[in-house]
Amino acid sequence: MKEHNIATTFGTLVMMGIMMALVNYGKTPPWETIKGILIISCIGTLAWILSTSKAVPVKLPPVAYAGLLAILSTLHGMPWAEWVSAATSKLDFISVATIGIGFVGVGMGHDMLKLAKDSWKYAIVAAFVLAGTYFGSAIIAQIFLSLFGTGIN
Amino acid sequence: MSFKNLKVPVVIVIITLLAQFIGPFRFDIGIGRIELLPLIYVCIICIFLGPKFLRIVTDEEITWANSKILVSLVFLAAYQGTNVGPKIPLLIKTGPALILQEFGNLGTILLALPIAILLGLGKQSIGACFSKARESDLAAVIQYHGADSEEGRGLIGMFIVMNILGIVFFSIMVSIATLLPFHPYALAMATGIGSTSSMTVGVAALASIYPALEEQIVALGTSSNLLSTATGIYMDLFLALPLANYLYKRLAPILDPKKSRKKGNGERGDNR
Repeated sequence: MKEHNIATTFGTLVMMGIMMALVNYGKTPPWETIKGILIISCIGTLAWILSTSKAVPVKLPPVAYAGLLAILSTLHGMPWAEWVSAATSKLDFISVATIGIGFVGVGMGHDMLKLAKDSWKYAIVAAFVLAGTYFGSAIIAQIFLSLFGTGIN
Repeated sequence: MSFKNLKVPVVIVIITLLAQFIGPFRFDIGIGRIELLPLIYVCIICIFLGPKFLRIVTDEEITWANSKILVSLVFLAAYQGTNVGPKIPLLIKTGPALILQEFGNLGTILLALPIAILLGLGKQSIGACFSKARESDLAAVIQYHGADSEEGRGLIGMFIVMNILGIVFFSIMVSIATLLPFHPYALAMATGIGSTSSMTVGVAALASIYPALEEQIVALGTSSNLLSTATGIYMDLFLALPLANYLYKRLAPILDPKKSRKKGNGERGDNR
């Protein structure tokens, strides 16, 4: 995001939000989502500032700051938590993700034919990816369950 | 932002609305369900908008869209964070087993990366294998390698395949696992890989085998999935992607010597 400044970052985030609101029009009318969109845009802009500012000693990518700030702004006990949650819960995950995916798709825009030719390889690898994450987690869980018990009654 | 740049957003919104109008395709194949969601139509159509295929967007517009990807993923990350925040007290109460099994998600790299390299996917193996390739995993690769890189293409390829076949594969995996000597709670925790659809299918399969434990299975699956969602981005950025990059550098010369010698493979040609 080198080519962005505070204003264009905020503008782009709001644009993403407007796109999301349009796509989600059938489920939630845009005037109900606008507050959530502005809050998310502010969080995102702040994350961008933290990530690029020289005054911040810890260098984290903007997505990492965005997640942390969003968790802080909705954490139980924070005075603004309920207000933020109420506004952002009007947004819809699939719509937000779809807009992001659209940009990823357009932005790649090259060399995708080879990928189509390799799709059978991806299907094979996908099975191993899922086996890896599932059995990896199950094995660790099994070990620690036998050490510490279940954690729930 | 000038108005001529509004073309790409408008096109994406129109494609999304069309995709939603068509709606999802789901067909049962006995062992599971193959799913085509509007999200995937959007992804595939958008990839082919460029001058080489549909000629709807120009090369400059592609570059412009590319510069906006990270911002759009920041939006997604911030939105997901607001869903996690209210549930933090719930997560703190979970036991050590539930928290530590999150590291099992790195199993994707150990198991799948060597196979992808053997199949000749080159640097695409890194993007394809460092995570379960869901929406929230896009950010790490795009942050460090860019969308228009071998790693980025590997990730998108896996993203598409996972979205279509993920649920079938996952339900098969869960059924196989129940034949092995695992505690049902361990199997329930493992279903939370950070994808709600996979978790739901896995939990349903387990609950039908262990009906007496249904309530606990659902609770463990849901909190584990939430935990994966909360930690996913950080796991990707600081553990999974660096590990995948490192292992690739080590394994590629052994498993696929032809490709790792050919320096023109990555656009920077900087491997090793």
